[in-house]
Amino acid sequence: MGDEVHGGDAHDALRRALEHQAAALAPIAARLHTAVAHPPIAPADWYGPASEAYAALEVRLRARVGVAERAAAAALQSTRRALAGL
Amino acid sequence: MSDRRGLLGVPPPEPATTDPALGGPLWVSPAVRGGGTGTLVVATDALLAQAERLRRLHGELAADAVALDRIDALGVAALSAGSPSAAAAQSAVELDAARDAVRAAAIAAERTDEDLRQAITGYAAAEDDQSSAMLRLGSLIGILAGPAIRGLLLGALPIVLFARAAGLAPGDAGATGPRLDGVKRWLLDHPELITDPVFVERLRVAVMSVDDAAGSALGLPPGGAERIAAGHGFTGVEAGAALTIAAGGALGLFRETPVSLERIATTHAAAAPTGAVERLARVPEVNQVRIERYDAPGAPPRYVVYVGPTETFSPVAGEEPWDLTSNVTGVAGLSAGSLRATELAMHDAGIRGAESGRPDAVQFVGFSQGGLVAARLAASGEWNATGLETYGAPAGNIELPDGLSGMAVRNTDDFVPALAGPQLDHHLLQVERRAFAPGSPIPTAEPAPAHQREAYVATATVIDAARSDAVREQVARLDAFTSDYSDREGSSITVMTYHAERGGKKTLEGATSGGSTP
Repeated sequence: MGDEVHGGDAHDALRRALEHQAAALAPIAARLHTAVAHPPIAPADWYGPASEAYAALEVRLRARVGVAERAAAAALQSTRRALAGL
Repeated sequence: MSDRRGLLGVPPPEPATTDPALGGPLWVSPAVRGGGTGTLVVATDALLAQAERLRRLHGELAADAVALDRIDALGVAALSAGSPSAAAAQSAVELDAARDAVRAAAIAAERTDEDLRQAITGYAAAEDDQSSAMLRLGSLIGILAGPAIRGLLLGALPIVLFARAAGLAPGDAGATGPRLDGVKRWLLDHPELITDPVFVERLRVAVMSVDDAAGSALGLPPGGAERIAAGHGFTGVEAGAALTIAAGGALGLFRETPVSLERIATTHAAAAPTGAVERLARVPEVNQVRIERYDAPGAPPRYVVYVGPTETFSPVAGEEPWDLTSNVTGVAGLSAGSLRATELAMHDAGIRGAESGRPDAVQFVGFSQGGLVAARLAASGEWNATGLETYGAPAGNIELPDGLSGMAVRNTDDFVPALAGPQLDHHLLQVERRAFAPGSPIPTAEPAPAHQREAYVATATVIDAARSDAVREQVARLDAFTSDYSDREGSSITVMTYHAERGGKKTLEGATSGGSTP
């Protein structure tokens, strides 16, 4: 009986933690989704060596934001899956 | 002065707009606050907007990384360790991966932002170095050209004396007109020569070298003329302008006079202007000063003073105070007729100055010479200037107070602002744009097409569409100065229109000419 109560508490605690995790992840995933949809792109009329060096950084930034967006979306999805499975 | 457009206090008809697409991008140099010790930034509006966007993105990603750290503290990983839920454990692993990825993206955004800002400040520093080198070179050329100028002047002196004796010199009836017409015709035929940033920069250097060339022509050692001018309170381009006035005085040119003015009309406006285009449209012509008084219940009045452009380019002072004499006198930092006339109008409109102890807030807007007058008034300390917006003004040598809202707008292919030398003051947002990009057709209907109102209307249109916070914030602050009042219940806008003349024929007179020739 005591173990069941303890097990029930742990279960509820895990559910609450997962709910909080999902609630906190959702806006982050949404922001990253927007950032990927509207990536920073240097003005077309900027040219020269500085522009070329910057362009390489910008490509890397877009890739990093893309990775972050996919990771956040995956974390949110697995959190929701865990919640559904409880 | 028979033309009385604006008689009813309404703005002059909207000019035909030069197609904004003919021009180049907007170049922006935000105000350097705090005594001018900050970093000077020069970039296109689009690039500044990009830098601002990157900074925001970095801020958001850094905040997200912190938020993900907090999620970790919720303890899903610890709780799932003793739980049969494999999915919960997996979510904890995915969370770790997301946190690392967001942190890496935040670092990349910061690095990209820093790199872009370094490129921008590096450009500003290189431009500053280049400008300094050009001015040193110009000074050297001025010194070296001195003896040749002396020879030319000595050779020309008998011709000038003969011309005066024959009644053909400037100031003599019938002589100035045809000569200026010839110059105008030549300028109309060759718009591409003067509508060129390279020409503008060379002119800027030449203007700064006037004192060196004059000193050398007089046989003074290098720097001699500069020291003498400084002894009389003139430095930089002011010294050159003062020397021009002194030299021209002997030929009857650039002689200041008393001024007088009258209020032509007092009317009411339905709404405050919104945006740069609407404000520029309110800058008057012919009737040179327009003052708008904004009243709101329970609040002290606010004023916007609009000052018009040069009306005549004759170097001989006639009836019109908005003339070349006022331009040169104004650049020299002396009391130009147009400046005194505007102050008379401000007093008549009831604007309380600093001496009152309770000065009214004033925003100045001016085009061409009007911008010069507006900048001088804003810098004078005699008025509670809160905002300044100038278009094509030869006013780069005027040191403005810190904290002004607004902007100084110049077309880089407009030579008129270059007549005041390089842009020395950076307390105000500087906005530049080439009115006619390479390959664009240049109008031939008016001389100096990049200085025409239509060309600045096109630039103002681009300003109103600017994406950078640096420009948008200043446009919003200028808008807010008037809309803060006009949006209130029971507010009103009174418009006073003034016409000034040289001499004392009008009802409101200036006490003195104030334009002592150095």
